[in-house]
Amino acid sequence: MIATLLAAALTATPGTAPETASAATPALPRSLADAVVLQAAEVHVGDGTVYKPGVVIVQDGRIVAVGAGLPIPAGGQVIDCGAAFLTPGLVDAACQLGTNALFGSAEQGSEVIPQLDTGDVLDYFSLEFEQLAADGVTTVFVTGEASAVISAKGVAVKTAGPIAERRLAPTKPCVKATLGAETSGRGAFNRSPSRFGGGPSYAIRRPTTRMGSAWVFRKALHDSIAFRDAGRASSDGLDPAAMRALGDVLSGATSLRMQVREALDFDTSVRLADEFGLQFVFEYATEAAQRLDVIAARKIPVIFGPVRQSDSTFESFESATPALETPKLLAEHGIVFCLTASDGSGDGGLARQTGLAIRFGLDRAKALRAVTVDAAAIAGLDQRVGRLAPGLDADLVVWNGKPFDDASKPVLVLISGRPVVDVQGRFRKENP
Amino acid sequence: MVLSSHLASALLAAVAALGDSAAIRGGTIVNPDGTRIDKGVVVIQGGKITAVGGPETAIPPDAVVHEADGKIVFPGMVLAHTQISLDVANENVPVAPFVNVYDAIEPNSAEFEDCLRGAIGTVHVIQGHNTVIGGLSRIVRPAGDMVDYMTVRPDYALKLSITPRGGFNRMTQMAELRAAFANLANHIESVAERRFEEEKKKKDEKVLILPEEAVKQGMALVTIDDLDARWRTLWRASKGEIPLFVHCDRAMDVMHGIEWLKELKLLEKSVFVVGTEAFKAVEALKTAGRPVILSGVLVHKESDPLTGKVTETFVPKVFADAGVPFVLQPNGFGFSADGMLWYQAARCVREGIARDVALKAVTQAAADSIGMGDTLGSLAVGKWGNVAILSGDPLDQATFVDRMLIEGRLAYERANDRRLKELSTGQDLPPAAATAPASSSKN
Amino acid sequence: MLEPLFFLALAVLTPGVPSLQPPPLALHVDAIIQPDGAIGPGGWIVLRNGRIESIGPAEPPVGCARLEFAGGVAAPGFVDVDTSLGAAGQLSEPARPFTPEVATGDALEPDHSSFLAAARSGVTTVGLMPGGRNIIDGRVAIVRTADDDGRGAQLCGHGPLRYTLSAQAFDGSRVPTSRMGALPQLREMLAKSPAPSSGTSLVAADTADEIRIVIDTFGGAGRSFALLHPTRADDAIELVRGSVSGRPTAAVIGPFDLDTGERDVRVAKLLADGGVAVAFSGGGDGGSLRLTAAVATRSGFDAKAARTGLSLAGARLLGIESEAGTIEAGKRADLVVLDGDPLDLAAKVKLVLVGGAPVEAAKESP
Repeated sequence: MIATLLAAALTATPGTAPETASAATPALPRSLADAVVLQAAEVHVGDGTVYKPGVVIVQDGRIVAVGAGLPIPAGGQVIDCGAAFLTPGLVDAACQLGTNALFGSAEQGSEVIPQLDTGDVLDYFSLEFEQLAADGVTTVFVTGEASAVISAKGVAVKTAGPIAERRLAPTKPCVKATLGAETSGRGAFNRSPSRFGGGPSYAIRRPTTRMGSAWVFRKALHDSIAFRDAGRASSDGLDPAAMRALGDVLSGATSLRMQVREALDFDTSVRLADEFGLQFVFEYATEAAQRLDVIAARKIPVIFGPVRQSDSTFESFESATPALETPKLLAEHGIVFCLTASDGSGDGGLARQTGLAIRFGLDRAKALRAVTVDAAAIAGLDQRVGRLAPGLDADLVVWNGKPFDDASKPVLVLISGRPVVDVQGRFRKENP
Repeated sequence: MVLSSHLASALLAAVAALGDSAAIRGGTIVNPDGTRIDKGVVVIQGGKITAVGGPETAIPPDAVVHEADGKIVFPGMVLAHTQISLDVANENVPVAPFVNVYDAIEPNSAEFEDCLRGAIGTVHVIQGHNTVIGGLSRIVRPAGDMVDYMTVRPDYALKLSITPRGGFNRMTQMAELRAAFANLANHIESVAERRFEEEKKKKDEKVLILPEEAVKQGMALVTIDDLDARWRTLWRASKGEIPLFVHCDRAMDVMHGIEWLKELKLLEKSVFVVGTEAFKAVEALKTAGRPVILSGVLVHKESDPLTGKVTETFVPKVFADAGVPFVLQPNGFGFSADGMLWYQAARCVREGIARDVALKAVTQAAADSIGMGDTLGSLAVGKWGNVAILSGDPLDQATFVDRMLIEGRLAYERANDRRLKELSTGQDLPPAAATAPASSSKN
Repeated sequence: MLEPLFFLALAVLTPGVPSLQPPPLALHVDAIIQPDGAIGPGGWIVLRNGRIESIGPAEPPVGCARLEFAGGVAAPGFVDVDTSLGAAGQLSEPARPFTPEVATGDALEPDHSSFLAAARSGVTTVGLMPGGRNIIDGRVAIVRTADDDGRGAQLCGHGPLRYTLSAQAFDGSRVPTSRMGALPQLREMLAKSPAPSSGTSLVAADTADEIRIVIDTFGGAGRSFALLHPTRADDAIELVRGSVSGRPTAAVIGPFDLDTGERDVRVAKLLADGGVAVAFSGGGDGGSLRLTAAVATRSGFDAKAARTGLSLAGARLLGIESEAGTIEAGKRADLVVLDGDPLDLAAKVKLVLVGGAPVEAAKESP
């Protein structure tokens, strides 16, 4: 069935040859009656390894084997993708789609909500996920909304497939803290009524300044430490569940992201982390190019992006501007990073962001790695996705040309072995 | 949004060198129709291409030679319909044929700078989608610090909109359009009658004729000087002296537009600027045989009112499949979104349109749509010397414009593009740091 | 032709009958709607003391007042779960988002004229539904549209709790402002409070994703639950059919009219095909209820299920199926006699009995 899908439109132009890996031949079961064997001119594993040509064997929604010249198991259905390129499904580690976030789906009742779950407001049925799947983005980590200083836990989901199988468990839960103007500027309810000016108001919600954001962060962690030591909440009505959730952040059981856009917020993050002994990841990191040395020295992973001509609604609260060569510079400084399209999809989506990173100097292999292997690792999802390796989910993208080229696109996308996007690049509603 | 001054001065230097010859050699000449010449030579004299050929092509001794080894030499692209550089488009008066972008083009707009970075050598600045009759346009070079020096074609075309402007419905819009031309006819008649009486008085004749006859005889006497600025543009347009750029957002607007323009006998003067849904009128547009400029949004989305099912149509593919030439516009404008012409062409290739069709949509077809098909759109002897020297294939995302020549004069050089460097690295550079010696040499 | 009610009035009100109890009434109709919604054979329905005594072809006992309806079809009185009939003021208490202790019965105005109109159109029981502005919104009042004298309405109990997880339950003026904030509290409440022994929770959920979260939350807590107006259940049908944690037992759908989009109408059929009992809602008007059911059948909804959707499905949701919802011996005598299938919109209501008492007919306009 996939074969018939593919038959029509694979008119790939094989690219110039980069590195070729030596073909390791893993042991294969003799018979894989219901296996699907995909052959393609180039199989990009995600970590830099490329098989030309290569084979991926899929069974029961998982990858069984990847390599060159693998013996084809008896009974397997062979799909020849011809001159096409095969990569892992792309992973966006800081997606903001699917939550209607600007319309108050995130809880506005408190500045500190790490006990809450973004999964509770994720719209699995959002058409935005269909678009992402069509873009070749198969897994997203939907990050906590930035209207709270310490936001809700993010949620990792596949962009298509049966609802019950969509959610993935990261190795650790992850909450995000936001420094900067978004905490006060964002959120439909963080505003006084328009007759009073419509701006953020101390009477409705703190904080109203950068200093305020940092203070809310500090106070919450101090409260949590006091709660942990005393075994109960202090007197000012803090939610014990929130205090416990923060305790997990302090102990490292829950991982932490710091959303920063302006350069100065990088510095504040580092200070705050030092005060409480926290490890963290930078999210969005718009002006990372201004802080390369400190990021490299402290080995802080970076989720970078997106780069856009004009600000999206999400970014408009700040005036940070990303350097176009940031991905290249991050790579040159040995910083572990991935790329994100945030709330973008289609021509503003992750593949286009990756293409831009390539345009502005990032090596192609590193670019692929940044939206597959490294994105999955940073999001704590590398046990399941992000690489073509035995045992991982069979999330695959077949491209009709060099991946991320402006003139190529995904012509077939598989999630857990099921085709979810057809050769026209259209989302398939009925998953066979 | 002000152009850094070095670009402007680069152009001034070029203006000073007017009349000089230029040559580009060593690169691969690529034309939109797919023809290629390796190690080719392009010679430009007096702003026009005088030779295109292989390495043996003679280069005039006085030519400034641009070495293009390893580069792609491609015709300057044509932005056939844009509002860039205008601070506000769409006059609030519905019928405003008397406004002119001449009065609003900002030469120092950063968008012109981005044109050069994006290999665009010719820009047709036209506005008025959201009006009934929108005003006069102008074709300019995207370089220079005064509109007059930038101008290629002054007062080129008039914008009309069949699609209702804000607050109008389709009936009012058509009524306003018809009324505008009817009012013009009435006015001309009254002028004709007056001119007849004046002539009569001059000759001191005492003939008594019916007013209808007076109008008829007076018509031949009316000249443009008899009209004030309110009427001049529309009068010229009604006589077919000015191309009409007709905005039709939807397929039904295309149908109404074609019928109405036929009535006015102006269909042959029209260019259709269409929205995404207009692909449904592709056959009518094919029959009309007039240029079609597509919206920058290339995908039409429509949801079935009963089932809610969304269908998507890649609009250029419909036109390509029907064999109708089309012109691409950017969606928005700038480096990162789908804001560049070459990116739009690349999207077409991505969706299965032949490469030459996609490339023509930003070059030859675009030039044709602004009446400059003989002058622009490819590298050929006799055409203007608008040449982009590219670091790679025009549709490759890693390709940059290394140099941009407009009528043989160097208008942009990446090595000296300080703003691009600053955007790339995030570092503020002192003006001197970015200035590298140009790699051109006197032969 | 004289209206049957005229004879009935004679029978019931004829002076000189010695007993205080009204005499039993026997109705003869040509068809009777069966509990499964099928149109069954006609016969005599004997009513005594406000209840159905017997149904069958046999001649009624001596002493019965007899009414015969040539061409008549007897249907169980219509049950409309989601109405605001007779509500005095608001039906949501906006002070707090969780108000399980509130009951709409406390806002019932029994003498409200809307009840008589409802009764005349065939609706014998309605739910007075809380307003939907709270996450837990209180109990639905179960109201008979006429009392034993066939006049004002009568509160007969407090039905299930209504919950709302759609956007209308949230605003910025109180905490929680979001589903994200509400769900942990709701889950805790469901875990702590014992599941009701009978009846079901009514949960308003509009979009596919709200339906997902309802199934997850209520099914996950082992609760029996029904969906109120799941407009986009078609998108979530995969979950409704195949949910692991538990699926909705029923859904309240409607009103539909001839302008309702085909996509919305088809939701009823998709739910029924997925094993969900559909109860139609018509805002308390029998005509609107019948129109809703008829429009649904036009889009492929099973006619038998459509007839049960007019009465039994709603009765089950209110937990009164032992009393109402079908024509069976022992149940309350809530009946509608029409001159055709209730799904046939041309069929006229000839007689309505609420608890055996005839509903006073509207005066014919001259």
